[in-house]
Amino acid sequence: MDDLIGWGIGFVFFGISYFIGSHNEKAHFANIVEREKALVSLPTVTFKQAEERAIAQTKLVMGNVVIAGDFFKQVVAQLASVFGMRISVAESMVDRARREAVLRMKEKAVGADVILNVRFMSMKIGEREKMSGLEAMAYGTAVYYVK
Amino acid sequence: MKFEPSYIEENVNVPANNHFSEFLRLSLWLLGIVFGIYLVLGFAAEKIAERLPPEYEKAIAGGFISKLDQQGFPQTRAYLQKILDHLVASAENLPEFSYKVLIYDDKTVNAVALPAGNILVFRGLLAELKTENELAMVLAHELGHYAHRDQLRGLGQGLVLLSITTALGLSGDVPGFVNPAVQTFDLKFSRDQEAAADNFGVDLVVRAYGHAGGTLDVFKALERQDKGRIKSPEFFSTHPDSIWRMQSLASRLQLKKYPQRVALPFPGLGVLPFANRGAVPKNHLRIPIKNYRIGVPKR
Repeated sequence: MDDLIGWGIGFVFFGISYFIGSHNEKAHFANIVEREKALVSLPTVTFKQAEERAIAQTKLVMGNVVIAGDFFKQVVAQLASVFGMRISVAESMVDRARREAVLRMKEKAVGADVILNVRFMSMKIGEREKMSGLEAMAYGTAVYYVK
Repeated sequence: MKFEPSYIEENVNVPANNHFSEFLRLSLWLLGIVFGIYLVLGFAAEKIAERLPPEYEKAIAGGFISKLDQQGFPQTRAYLQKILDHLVASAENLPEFSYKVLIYDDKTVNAVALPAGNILVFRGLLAELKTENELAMVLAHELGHYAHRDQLRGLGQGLVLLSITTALGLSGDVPGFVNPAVQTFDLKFSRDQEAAADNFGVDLVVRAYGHAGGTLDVFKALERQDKGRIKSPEFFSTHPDSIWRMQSLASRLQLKKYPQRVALPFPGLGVLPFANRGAVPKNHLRIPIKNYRIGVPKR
């Protein structure tokens, strides 16, 4: 009987987690695309020098975000880990986190001409052996040329 | 070099397939693999169990039988032991064990064939039965499991199942559904074993008592039990439906032309623990216990 209750609760959480999680993810992706389009004119590059122009100002800019791995994703990730398959549910988490971090970084660099030397960092947050959360950080040097 | 802002809509970093279909695909993989391992190891365990010498079986049983032996109801034990000894004396093809009855103080309506000839009878079953011949039928059914060596087969398969789930680390929070799925498959075997034990049981009762009176009444008692709770479809139950069992046994009685006479009544008060007659609540949800499964029923 205890088992049945435990499973019942587990299944309900699993279902709720799937529906809410996938809804949130979809909404987040839509939001990311919209903002990326708005900020597409600000180039972000990994090299250290772009143009031979006089620089008025440089600034360190960074964007930081933490995305949670929901219960549904944790179960699927554990299943995938049995066979060593691609954890595609985590791939979408990583993509969301990196792109959101870049967007936040760009939003920090108001009026900049270019962001040079962009770097990424990411880290798992939470308990061992669980995909509780994923942190991603993007940072770079915002350059303002002399007008 | 001039910077031309352009936006790429396509995203190769996120897989196009839906998360739920990914989940289904992975679960089917896992189910298939567990199933395969279970089939292979279960087959191996069955073959080993069939050839396991009685001394080994006694050694296995020694580990846990003493824990189940509550030493209660001495008069009832003596009475049941007398019936069992009578049956064993008339039986053929039984493995060489010292057959022993243990009474377990629980409302469950069941009896279990444990390794090395230990038959565990639940108090709840005794309260449901009406005559000595019914009791003899139950004990003879359990002896049938020993004759077919089912008690070890269940032990072997149970161990395989336990090892697989533990090896995969599934005993924790992840897919608990793997476990029942495998067990359900097992039930077909189990039901065939029960039917075979029924046939052995009735033959033995006729040999010991000279007639088959009262043997069908056991299933009436079981059916009364079935009515009290939600009926599970036959595919999910370890024992075949009591009505089906009763019918197949009745046709066997006709086929073999076994005589039917009046069954022996139970001895006087004080011998059987009748305290809980009718005490099983109507909607008492009973956890089905395999008749040869090892261990104390939990919860």
